[in-house]
Amino acid sequence: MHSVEMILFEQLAKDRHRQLEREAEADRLARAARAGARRHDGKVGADTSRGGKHYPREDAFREFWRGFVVTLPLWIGILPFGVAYAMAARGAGLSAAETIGMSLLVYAGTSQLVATELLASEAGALSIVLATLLINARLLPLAASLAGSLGRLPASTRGLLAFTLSDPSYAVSVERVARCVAGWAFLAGSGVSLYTGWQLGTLAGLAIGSAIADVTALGLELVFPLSFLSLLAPYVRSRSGALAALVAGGLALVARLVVPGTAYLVIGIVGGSLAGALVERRR
Amino acid sequence: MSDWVIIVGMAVVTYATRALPLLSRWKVSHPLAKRALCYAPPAVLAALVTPSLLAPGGAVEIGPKLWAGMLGAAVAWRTANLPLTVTIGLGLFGIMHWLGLG
Repeated sequence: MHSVEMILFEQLAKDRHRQLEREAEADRLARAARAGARRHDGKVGADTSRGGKHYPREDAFREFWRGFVVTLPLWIGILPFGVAYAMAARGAGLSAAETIGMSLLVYAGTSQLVATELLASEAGALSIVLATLLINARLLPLAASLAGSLGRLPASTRGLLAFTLSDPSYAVSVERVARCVAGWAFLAGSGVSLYTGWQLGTLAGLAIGSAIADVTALGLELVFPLSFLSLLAPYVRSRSGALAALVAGGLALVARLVVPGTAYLVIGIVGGSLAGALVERRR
Repeated sequence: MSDWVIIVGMAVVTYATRALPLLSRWKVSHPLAKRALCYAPPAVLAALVTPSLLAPGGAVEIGPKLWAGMLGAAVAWRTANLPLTVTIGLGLFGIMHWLGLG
């Protein structure tokens, strides 16, 4: 797992897991007791073990709410990140509507910060979308690892669930999804919670940004590289991650000096990720 | 208006990375490509950071931006805390600017 937010929230997530394990156990016992009671009544209870459409509706609502609440502490991490993004976006010349629109539609912090930086340096639309794809490709394996547990849900539900999938919501929910039939609702609640926090952070950043008269006069273009450094820190703790960053940074710097345009980004990114992958294979 | 085109393009590719594995059987199958994808985030971040601190104008420049970046890197390494890294880095840059070093 290589994701910034995940590492930031790792400890919190671990605590949550422990708490959830206990809750899930209690849950299972309670459900078994209910099922037993129903059987004695001679009624046909909802067979939760088969999943699909047969989960009790109230379970799903409860799970959703539980996921929402359990994820609330992570707002501490997501709010300032949203504030930084919104201030950077305004500094890069995005309108307030565009700043909010990107948060609502894209909802992926690192790639949003990178995109605003690229917009500020007048990069083309294609290279911005490509950079977004490269950064968020890390979500592919997350989604893929959930596919097995969520496969029984209707496609429309899976499509909606995907919209709010993020590293922290995955981290908090993955065990629940694998363990409980209604775990998907927990994942949804966690995702919606973080999504809400991200939007509120964005709004707060807009408010703060407009309170400061001239954002560009404060050397705020440094907000980008400084934010990126803090997002980079968790990755470089592994040897292969550090090598990927070193190769990418070195190649990008050299290419920046000799190649016109933003090609230096593609050169650095491709070289760096291949270097990381090759070293990992060696080990 | 073209900013909106970019935003929608970003939204489409981002949603695709979240939804494709859940909605289809499509997978990144080549093992090297799969691993390389894991290293895309640090590679992207480093490829952005290095030139903007060392060569902001297209030529190598040893100045307050680099010093602010190095202090920021140290804070980031110790804390991985985004607001703290930004505040301390900007603070050093501001002080150097104020002293007439930038």
